[in-house]
Amino acid sequence: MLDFNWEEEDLIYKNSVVEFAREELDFPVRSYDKEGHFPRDLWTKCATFGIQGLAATKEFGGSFDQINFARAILAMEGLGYGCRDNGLTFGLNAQMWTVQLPILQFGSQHHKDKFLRPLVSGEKIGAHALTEPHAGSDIFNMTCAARPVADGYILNGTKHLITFAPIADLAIVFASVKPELGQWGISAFIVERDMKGLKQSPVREKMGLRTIPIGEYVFKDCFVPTENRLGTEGAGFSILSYSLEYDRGCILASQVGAMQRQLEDTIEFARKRQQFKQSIAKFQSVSNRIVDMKVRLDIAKLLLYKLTWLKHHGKSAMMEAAELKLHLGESFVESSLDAIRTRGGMGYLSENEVERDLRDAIGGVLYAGTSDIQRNIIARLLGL
Amino acid sequence: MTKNTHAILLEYIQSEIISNEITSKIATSDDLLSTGIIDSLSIMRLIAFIEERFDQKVPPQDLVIENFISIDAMATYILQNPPSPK
Repeated sequence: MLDFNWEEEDLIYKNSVVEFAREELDFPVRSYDKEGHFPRDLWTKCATFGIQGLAATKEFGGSFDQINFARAILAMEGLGYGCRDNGLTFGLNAQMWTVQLPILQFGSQHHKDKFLRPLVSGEKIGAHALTEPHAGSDIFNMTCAARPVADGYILNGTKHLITFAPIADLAIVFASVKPELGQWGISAFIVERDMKGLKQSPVREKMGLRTIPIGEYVFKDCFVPTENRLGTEGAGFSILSYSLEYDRGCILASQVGAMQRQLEDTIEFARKRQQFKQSIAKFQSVSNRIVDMKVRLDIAKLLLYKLTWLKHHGKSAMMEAAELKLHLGESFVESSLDAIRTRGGMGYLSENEVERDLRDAIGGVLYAGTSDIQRNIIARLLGL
Repeated sequence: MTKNTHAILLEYIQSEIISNEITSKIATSDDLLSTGIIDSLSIMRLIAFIEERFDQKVPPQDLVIENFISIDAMATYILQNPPSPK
């Protein structure tokens, strides 16, 4: 039986995250967004508070003795609610669950000391380099190759649409050592920014989530020592499967928080805004839209909390994860449109900081598995 | 036990994973992974099934080709691992 009673200490922690985000992450998001400027100082503040530490154990600078998925979900929901920059929460989740967590789970003691600690402390930034120009949804068809040589591997290929690629200090790079084995021939490597043969592109301009830099890595005869291989040769698929499950859940938790904030802001606006001598909230064409926003949010919460419960109890949640990703991604777009419609022309002006959610939300139907791919997964699980 | 494990895995894979796609029977020694018979989604379903049916926890590190390449390999892996503590 499902139980939605969260641990009291986890709820207290979530509230502390909300308070932290409101007080310490209150920055001019609009100008940062316009200029595509990454708030590096706030990244460090998050690390000092312990956000990055949610994806590490205390032994390596983490916030708690063990990683607790339920607590992390609540905390990232609180962060999405309290922080008005969806880009920052997206970037934090990307590093925490697809860089830190794999190093914690698959890395050697050396990896954890050298790479995990500075990621947790905020001193360094890490990227997860998977997608390629010709391998998006068909990700295991990657061409980035790692050729074994004495004491290491030679990497050749290109990774694109990589969060933090232009500025990251290190990256977990997925490359095929044995192409004939498909996904089972993929290995993961920790590549450091000063390695010869690695080129990091400038920041690519994008529609939303603009405070987080995105770009490419190009590897040209880049030597990576064997000691930088993460896990065993051929463990790439396992590392991916493990970390993406956490990544999807936590990124979506931050989106749920953002949708809660969006709903509250929209209700406040609708109640105050007067037209035809009354609050626009009294017009059913307005209130119905806000009701739709509320229902979308609550369904998303139910799916998120069910996924959390399943993962917390070590159960498989493939169907639930796909349902959540699909529903939440599409819902955030729809609710962002409704938030703009409620405000009319004012919602269309960037200065009122409503339209930014829509631009950010579009990313949610594309990254970490598009909505179409989620539908494919659900169809397969239904036996179709 | 070994035979039983093989039979359980074979039945699940044939009925739930490759049901309509392959008409010929598979052998327990067949390579199911590099041939693509079991793809990335199917392997996750299979692991969920193994964890449930054999009361085991498959740690992420164990998800490598050697352990799941064939029904024989899977049965060996299952037999080498004790059931999860309750």
